[in-house]
This record gives sequence, C-alpha cells and structure tokens, in this order.
Amino acid sequence: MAHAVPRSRLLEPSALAAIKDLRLVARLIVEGFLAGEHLDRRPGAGIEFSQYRSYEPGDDLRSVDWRVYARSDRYFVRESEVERDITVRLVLDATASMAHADATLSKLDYSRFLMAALAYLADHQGDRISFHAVQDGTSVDLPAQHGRRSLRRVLHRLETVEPSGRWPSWEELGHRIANPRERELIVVVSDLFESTAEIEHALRNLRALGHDVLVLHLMARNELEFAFHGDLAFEDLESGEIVRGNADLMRADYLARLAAELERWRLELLEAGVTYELVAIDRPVDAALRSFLLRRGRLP
Amino acid sequence: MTWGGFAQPAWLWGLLGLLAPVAIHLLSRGRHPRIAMGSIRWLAPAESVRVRRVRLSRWGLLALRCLILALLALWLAGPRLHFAGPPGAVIWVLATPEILAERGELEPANGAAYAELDALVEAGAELRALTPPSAHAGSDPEPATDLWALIELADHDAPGGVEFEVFTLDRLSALAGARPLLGRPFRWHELSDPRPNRWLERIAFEAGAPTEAVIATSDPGATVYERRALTDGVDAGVRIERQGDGWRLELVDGGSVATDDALSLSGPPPPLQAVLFVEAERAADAARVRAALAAAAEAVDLELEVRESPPGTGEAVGDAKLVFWLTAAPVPAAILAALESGGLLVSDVLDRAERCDCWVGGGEARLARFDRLGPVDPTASRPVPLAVATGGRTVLDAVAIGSGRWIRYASRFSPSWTDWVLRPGFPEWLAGLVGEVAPSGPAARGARSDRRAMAGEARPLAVSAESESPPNAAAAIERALWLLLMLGLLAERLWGWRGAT
Repeated sequence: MAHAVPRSRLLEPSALAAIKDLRLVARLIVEGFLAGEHLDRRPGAGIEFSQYRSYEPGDDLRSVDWRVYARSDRYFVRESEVERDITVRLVLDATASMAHADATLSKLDYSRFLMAALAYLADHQGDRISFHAVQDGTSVDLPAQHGRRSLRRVLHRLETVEPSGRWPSWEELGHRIANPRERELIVVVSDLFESTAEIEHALRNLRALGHDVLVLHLMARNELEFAFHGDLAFEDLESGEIVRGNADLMRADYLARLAAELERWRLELLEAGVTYELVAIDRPVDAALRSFLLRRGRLP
Repeated sequence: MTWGGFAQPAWLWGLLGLLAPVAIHLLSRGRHPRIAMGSIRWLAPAESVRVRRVRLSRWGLLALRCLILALLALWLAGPRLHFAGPPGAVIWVLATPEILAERGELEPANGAAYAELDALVEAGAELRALTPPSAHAGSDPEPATDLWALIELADHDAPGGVEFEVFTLDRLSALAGARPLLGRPFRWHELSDPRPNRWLERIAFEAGAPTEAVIATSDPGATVYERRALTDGVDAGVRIERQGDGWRLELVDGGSVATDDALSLSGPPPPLQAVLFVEAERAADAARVRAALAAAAEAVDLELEVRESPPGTGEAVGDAKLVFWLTAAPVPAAILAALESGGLLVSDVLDRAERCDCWVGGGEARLARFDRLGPVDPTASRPVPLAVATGGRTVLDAVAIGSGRWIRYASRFSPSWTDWVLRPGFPEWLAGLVGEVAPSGPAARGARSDRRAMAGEARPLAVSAESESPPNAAAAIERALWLLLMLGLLAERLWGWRGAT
C-alpha cells in the first residue's frame, strides 16, 4: 500500500530541491500554503460575482439584485470581488554571495523557490508581475504584465539565472526597478551583503518613491550559527578574499558581529518603513509568503 | 674551555628529524579546508588579528617542537667540553702495584717502558699506584683487586685537564668489572711479565676429600691446564691441609702472583642424588636421560649420583632432590610429599599421544621438533607453561608442590617422540635443573688471576681520541640538556593544552 507523503513535507526546501520543474515547485508551495490561509478578497462592486447578502440600510440600491427580490420578496445585495490592479515587482539579488550553500541548498536555489512561489501567488491573485535579477554587468528585467505567460517568463528566468558579480549602484539600478508613476509592492530577496551600503541606499530610494517594500533577508543556517569547526580557510564569494583561522576560536566574535548586523538592518529598515523578514534557508517558505500577503493586503 | 666534540656523534643525524615537524606544519597549513562564505565581512575585521595570533602560535609551537627534537639529538650525541688545564698538560702516571714493587724482576724485559715511566716522573708527572683507597695511606701498596674500578676511580678523582699514563702488566690480573669509559686522554702501557704464574683452577672431591686439582700455568706464550691427582699432604706440588671442617689447598710453587696460590674450601659439596623410576621397556630412554644428566652435572661442576628403580617398589626417594618418573603409573603421593620440602619431579606422558608436526621455538631459534604430543595431567592446579609448541599447545609446564616443582613433559624423553633428547639443548636444560637443586657447598674453583690471553685488547674505552672533558663536566652538560628537554616537553604539552581549550 502506498503511503501518501504529507504535503507539509513537500514544502521543505530540501524536498523542493529534488523537483526540477520550478512551476511545479511554485504550485506545491502556494497550494500547500493556501490550504491553511485566507486570501485577501475584498467584497465590493466588481464584475466577478462573489456572494449575496441581506440588504442593510446605506447599501447602494444599484447593488440590489431585483430578480432575487422578485422570486423571494426579500432584498439581497449582490457582491463582487473588488478588482485591484497591483504590480508586484520581484527583485532577486543574484550576486555571487547568493551562491553560499548550507548542505546542498544555496541561497539562490532557495530564492528560486521563494520567487517562484511569490510569482505564482501573485498570478493567482491577478496581480501584474515584474521580475529583476540584480547583479552588476548583466541584467534581467521583465516588465510588469498580467497572465500566465508572464508567470512562465518569470519562472524561466528564475531557472536560468546564475549568481555573479555584486549589487550595482543606484544610478545603474534605479531606472530599471523604480517606477515613479505607480505605487507597487516590491519584494526584494537578498542576503543584504553589500560593500558600500548600496542595497540600503536602493531600499531607501524605493521607499522614498512611495513603494511598499518587503525585504526577505536570506541567511543560511551555517551562517546564523557558524557551524564550522577546526582550522578552515573562509573565502568571500564576492571579493575572493580568504581568511584562515580556527573556526572554534572565531565563533564568539562572529556571532556577536552577526547579531549586531542583523539588528542594525532590522532597525534601519524599520526606520525607513521597509518590511523586513529574516528567512533561514532551511525553513519552509510559509513565513515569507505570509509576510507577502500581509503586505499586499495593506495596499489600497 | 673549548669544544670537545660528541661522544656519540652518529646521533646528530637525528637532527634530520627536524624536517618532520616542519613538513607537517607546512602540509597542515596548505590543507585547511576551504569554505565558501557569502561574506567574510564579520570574519575579516575580527579574525585578521586572531588569525595572526593563531599563526604566530603555530610558528611558536613549531619552533618549540624543533627545539625539543634538537635537544633530544644533542642529549643522545653527548656533547663534550674540553677544560684546558694549566700550561703543559698535567699527567698522572698510574701504575699497578706490581710495576712498582717488582721492578727488579720486570725491568729486564721492559726497559723501554720503565725508562718512559721515569722520564714522565722526572718531567713532573704525579706517580700514583693503582691501589684501593684504603691502601693509599699505607707505604706498602697492595695488589689491585679490580683494575677497572681503580682506573675509573682515578678518572673520577682527577681534575679537568689531567691526562693519564697507565702502566700495567700484561697479566691484567683482577679484571672483574666492566671496562670503564674514560673521558680524558690516556696512554696505555702494557708491560710483559716473563715470569710464569700458576694457580689452582679447579678442585675435584671424592668422598669428602680433594682428589684432583686442575692447575693452570700461564706464561707470555700461553696458558696450560694440567690435571693432577691429590692425596693428603704435599703431592703434585699442592699442599693440602685440613682447616676446620674444610680444606686449604696451596700451590707450593705458585709463580709470580702469590694471591692466587691458595684456595680455602669449607668442604666438598655433597653429591646430588637423582632417582629414575623407569619401566623395564623404557631402559633405552632411561640410559639417554642418565647420559644427559651426567653431562649436565659435569657442566655445572657437580657430583651426581643417579640410581634407577622400577616403579611399584616402594618409591623410596630418600635424599634425592631430582626424581624422574618415566612410567605409565600415576605419580605416588609419597613422592610428591617427599619433594614438598624442595626438589624436582620430572615426568613425561606414556599414552594417548597425538601426532603433532610441531616445534618449540620459531624461525632460526627452533629448539626441538615434536612428532607426538600427549596431554599432561589436567588435575594439577595453576601450571606454569615453560615451552609452547607451534599451534599453542603447552609442551612443558611446571606445577608447584610445596617448595618443590613438578615439571611435566607432554611428550616422551624418547627419540621416536621428539628430537629434543638428541639436541644439545636437552643436557643444557637438565643442567639448569641440576643447578636448581644442587646442594650448596664450597666453590671448588680458584680465582682466575691471569688473563694474558686478553693482552693487547683489554684496556679502558676512551670517549674519543680527542675528547678531553672530565666525566663530571660531561655529566653536567648532559643533565642540563636533559632538564631543558623535559622543560621543553612540558611547555609543548601546556601549549597544546591551551590551544585545545
């Protein structure tokens, strides 16, 4: 007798890593997630029927369904979902540091799952999706579009993007990801490793343009706990610098500095009005999706 | 003070061992596993100092380990320092008492040596007789009791820079101990003693009285041993006197060394009695054991009385301390009881033998081949294995019976069972047993007082031709090196422990 694999198990990053089809990954994540969540559906005067409810004083008489009244002799108001035309701009940090791996899963791999799930979810909600893979030199920019075709393009780009280079300056990046004409939900998935505060600068500028910015800060478990032992040579994926030393002796200082850095990011982004979520790449992506939905729900 | 080389310079090759920790250090540096990190920003500022400290610590540890190896090599090589004496070397002329006391007889044959001795004394060298310390005060020097010990004593007493000129006879009497290792230059003059020397080498007794003497005669040519029958009184050049319960034997014409002419013996050792309980059909085995026992007794210079008795005749052991039980019957309790006060019972097996293509010993040291092996008495408690065959079976074991022992042989003393009885090792093994139960008696050997055969070879060992430090200084250097070595090892352990924590 075949045993059914619990869906929650499929949402583990290690399980997702075994699935080659990113679309299937995104579907598994989102449908598994939606099984316990309520989508943000606002009743209102849209086209698509949603439900009937009893008339209450103050309701617009145009919304009363007269045919139902004719049959039942009671006033019912016909409700439809409110149509909100939101642009979700997905910004992926594709710099070299995103190649950092914990066990077999790199930050970029996890980002692929997360971005795919976000895109799938946004598409499911009828949002326009824009995608940017950020790295200096080459650029991947997909303009905001509706529909399944847009989702397929995003997924294809996610599958092919490779980590390299550093985060570009705002002068180079700003005109690609910033749309001053419309308020957007910008989701930035990054490890926030920067050399001259270029990421912080970009986030502040996006916020200053009135966009709603959600930062999903990816950290590997071995980075968070510094689970290394013995004499090691640590190589910086972006700069190529090497630091040798005994990991056991390094741990205390490292953890203290890391904690200070994470706290600094949290406070800086809180001050800038950016939603910040620290995401360990060995955890399911639920928390990140929940933050996304919460932030999206706040949009008008 | 100048450098005096090394006592064992070959140990300096051990300094090549310094390459080992260096190589290990370099290899371990390059072998650090590499970890790709998204950013080392939180490592670099903090760890650049720490890494430097770790590296310095490693280099320090490497240096310490090299130092330990170097100290070990130096300690083993034994460095020597030369403590220069006053201008013109101080010389001690060390002469055996005979050289000084019997000059008139020795000088004709050793004119050149005596001339050299006189020249040294005239040049200011200090003349010392090699006599025991107690005899220094006396005017009449005594003969040296142990030449090696006396030379070593002089080496110890002499200050740094003193050189030795040693004059001794080629008879080299009383060389009892180990040859000393002198830490100073010396010259060795061996004077020929043309006079023959005679001494009592060995006495044989029969019925409690000396009946035979082996008299050794040594001259510069060779040493000759002569066996002479003895009777009471002066006979064959040996004066025999009763001395209490024992005897005093003295050569009438003893030769040049008077101290080895007389031999006092408290009495002859009683003969060792052995009994063989043998079945009639094993007469051939008994004859072989008797022959081996006779050879063993001869080897340990002991009189042996062996009697044979068939089993089942009362098993009277009497005064016998060595009993062979070569029968199929179990050992009677009376025999075991008789040997409880001391003695040896040797038994072999007679039945239930198994074919066994096995050996005692291995490789070139094979002692015996066994074609058949049987079980030994399993009821005996706590047997001590004495010989184990290939395959692990015990061939020979011993069980304590009171203060005596029961030695059990898992084969037969028969050539059809084992070739052990045909090998020289068999009477040698029996000689050990005989020596174990031999009655205590006076030594029937005289002092070997003439070693002319060793002339030219027996002389002290020098550290090296050029090394000149006195032994005390060398010992101090070695002690200092040893102390440094121990401190280094302690520091290395502390360092390692601190690094681990």
